[in-house]
Amino acid sequence: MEFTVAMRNQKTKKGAPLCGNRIDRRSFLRSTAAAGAGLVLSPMVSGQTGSKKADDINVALLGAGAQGQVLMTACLKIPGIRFKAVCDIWTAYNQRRVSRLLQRYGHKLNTYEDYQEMLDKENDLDAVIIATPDFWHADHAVACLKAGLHVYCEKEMSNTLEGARRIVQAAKETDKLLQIGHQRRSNPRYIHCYEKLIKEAKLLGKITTINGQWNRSKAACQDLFWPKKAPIDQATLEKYGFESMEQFRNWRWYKGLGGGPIVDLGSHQIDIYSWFLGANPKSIMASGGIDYWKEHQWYDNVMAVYEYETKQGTVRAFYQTITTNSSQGYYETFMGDEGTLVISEASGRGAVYREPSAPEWDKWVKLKYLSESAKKEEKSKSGAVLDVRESVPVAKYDLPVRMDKPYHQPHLENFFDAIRGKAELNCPAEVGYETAVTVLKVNEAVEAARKLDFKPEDFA
Amino acid sequence: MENKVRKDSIGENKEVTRRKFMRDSAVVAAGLGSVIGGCKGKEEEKEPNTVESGPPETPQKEEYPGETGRAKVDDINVALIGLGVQCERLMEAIFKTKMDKTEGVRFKAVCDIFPYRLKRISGQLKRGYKHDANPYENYEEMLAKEKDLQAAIIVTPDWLHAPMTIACLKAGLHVYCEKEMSNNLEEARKMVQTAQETGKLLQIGHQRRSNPRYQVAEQLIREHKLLGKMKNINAQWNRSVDKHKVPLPKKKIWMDKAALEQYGYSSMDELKNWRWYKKFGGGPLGDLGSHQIDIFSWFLGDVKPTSVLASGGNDYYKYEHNENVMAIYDYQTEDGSVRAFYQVLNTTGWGTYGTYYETFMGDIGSLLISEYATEKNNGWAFLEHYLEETDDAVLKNAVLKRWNDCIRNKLIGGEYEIPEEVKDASILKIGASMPGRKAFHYHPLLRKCTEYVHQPHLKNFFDAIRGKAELNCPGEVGYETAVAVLKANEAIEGGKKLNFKPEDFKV
Repeated sequence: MEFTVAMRNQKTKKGAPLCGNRIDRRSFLRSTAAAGAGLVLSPMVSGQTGSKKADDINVALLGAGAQGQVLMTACLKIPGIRFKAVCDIWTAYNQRRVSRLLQRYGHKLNTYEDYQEMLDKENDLDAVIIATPDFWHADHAVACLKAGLHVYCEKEMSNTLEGARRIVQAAKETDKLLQIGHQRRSNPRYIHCYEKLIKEAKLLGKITTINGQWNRSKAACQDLFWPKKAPIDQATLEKYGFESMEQFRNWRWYKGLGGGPIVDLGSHQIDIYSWFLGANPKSIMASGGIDYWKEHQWYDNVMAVYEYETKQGTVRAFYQTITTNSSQGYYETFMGDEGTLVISEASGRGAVYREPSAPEWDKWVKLKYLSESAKKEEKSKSGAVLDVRESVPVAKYDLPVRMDKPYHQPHLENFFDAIRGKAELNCPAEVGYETAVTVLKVNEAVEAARKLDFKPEDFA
Repeated sequence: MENKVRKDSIGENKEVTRRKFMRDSAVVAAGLGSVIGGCKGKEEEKEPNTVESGPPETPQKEEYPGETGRAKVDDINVALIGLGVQCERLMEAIFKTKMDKTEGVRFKAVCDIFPYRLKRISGQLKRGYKHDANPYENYEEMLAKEKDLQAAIIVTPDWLHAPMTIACLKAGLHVYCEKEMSNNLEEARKMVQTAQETGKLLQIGHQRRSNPRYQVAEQLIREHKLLGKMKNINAQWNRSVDKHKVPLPKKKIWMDKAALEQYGYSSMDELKNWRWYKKFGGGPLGDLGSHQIDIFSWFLGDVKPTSVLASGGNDYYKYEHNENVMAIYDYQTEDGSVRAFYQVLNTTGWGTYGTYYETFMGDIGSLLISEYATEKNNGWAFLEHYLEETDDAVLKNAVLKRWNDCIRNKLIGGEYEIPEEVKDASILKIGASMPGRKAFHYHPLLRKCTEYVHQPHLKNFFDAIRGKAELNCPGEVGYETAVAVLKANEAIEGGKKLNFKPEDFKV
């Protein structure tokens, strides 16, 4: 159903005055940019003390926990972003902390516990950044879209496909922008790897295999606590769907609230598999369990194997997330018959390796698609005698692209640029949905203990 | 196939008496050797194939007749069956480490259906090492004619392992048989049964089981609990396109079709690249994976998997066997569930830590080891960084004591500057759970192994023949591994988790 701004006005309970020029300014934001106007961006970074510029974007932060703070911090480095509202049910801690910090940076903002109230009262918002627990994403994103806001919503889009579908639907109906927070999609290093190395230069040859992992140490997976003097009262917790502070803080581990580490972490990386392959998987099998953190509801130890059919043939992709050991951290590896790409969001971690039988890559070094590694791989290793069938060490090349910004900044910039009509979204609703379908199926496959097939229409 | 001649000869032939003597005397053990044959403390035998830590042991007294060359009663007369590439590995392991002399290994017969290889290897033995080995094309003929053999080393394609091993065992020989034991579990079972019936030794060629580096690694994990509760294993063997097949020899030396067909092959490719054919081998998973999947069970404390889930395909080369396989094994140990991922590739040769290695991960550390060791890259133990920072002093002290004990006992090195090639070759340097945080402490594994990695396993076999050692990989163990590995191929076809029952691993 069409939910218009006018309808929302009817819903306005407390008669918050509607700012008449609000819509005009919004449409201005997109139309000027769409017209390609070379509007000079305000050089002012954060510290939004002056009067509002025409292309400033008024933003609300919905969910001011750890991830909300990461996004907020990245936004502080982006010109023309004005935080007007912060909403968090943990008023005594998250909300207080973030709003004070933003105020120190000169943002004049209101604070809310209830997102509905915020949407009712704030009449000058252009966009919202949603960083609440997964099970809230659908309600939050849909309400914000219908309130006429552009939405940046953290992944996982939702903890249920039904929820994810509602978001996609609302984005279509409202014609508002919806960016899902798979921030690697906007990372220049990842973009270089896909656009230049894989798609254009085809450096890896035929990709047959992907490996990816996020191994976290036990210490990084301990339950989160909270200052005992600043809890949320029980009534408020329950109002927002939490049984306890413990559950509120550790929602990722609870069924019905989050999806466990595979959805929390795996989603980022499995998203890249499909992106780089230009395909959705055709099947999934997985093994996992509550192997260590016995008090949790979701699997703490998951291994999954996807099969993809691409134009080049079959690709098998392994993904692992574990919570007891940090061996080799997190990265993705794409392996083809001519080369291997290792890439991680962790800065400085990325390289391309040429297979012995592949054509030389000198041309790509000249074109600056690659840079020659300062250190060559050990050419001939001493030690064990190589069998004729054993592979020889391969040549290493570095990525010439650096990413010195906070990890989420380019993705947020892409969102704001899209609002200004200067860019297409790198991870719109449809893409986020495909990834949600791909990732949420892992938990299902663990339970089924067999290969589950995807049909093309599953992703539509 | 049963060999009547050999069967009848048991107990009557002179060499059988001698064979019996070799094991009996060893069992009766100490001192006897010196009475019978010039025993000498072998100073050259410094190869550390034992895993005891602490102060060096006093050199072991030989408990069997020496190899002085005067009383040949102590030589082990060996037949080498299958003279391909792998056979050269084993020969190197014997001759380059002088085991022919130290262990009294005499090659008396060699057997291969490929005349070129037969001539070449028997020539090498004769000219290079003065072993006058009689050449045979047919192993049954060899067993019928050679009356002075104690042991056979079988290095033929997998499908021949069972008939050859069984015939050799029944002929009264001890057998060292390359892995995979067989490409057929029923046949593998018969091999073990025959070994049990004949009382002869059967060593399966999972040579990491005798590798001192692996033995120490097992000790670090099992005895010293260096990793804490083990929860995950990853291992891989990634092989590049150019190495996925054995190159065929020059055409002029090829066997003709009739000769090939007589032995069950329809082409030279079938003969040389038998690993890719279902009839002859178990594919890359059986060939490469079995070495590494074997280690999973060993390092978990002889625990067999409870299930396997696998994906694989042959759409790249279109051979009979899958070129790329990913398998996930579940285990139940005293520490709870363990999940292990194994991958074999034939389309990419790159790997984080070289092309093949195994990683064992626990809640306080991990251990990374490859059979392919280099001077600077001998395997690593990593302590999870949080243990440095934890407020839990009891935990911290307990863990650090464990690690320090291993450092003191020279099982692992102290804090170590990460060598450039490791930094470079891999992403090991950043294992950070949190960006910017140092994730690991690097402790190199210190025990070395000869570069001829099959040597310790062969030595273990010869020692066992002399009653000086237990086999490190007897038929029963080889069978368990064959079950775990070959079932993965079944799991691929089934498309679902295949559960193992404990009795599946029993012969």
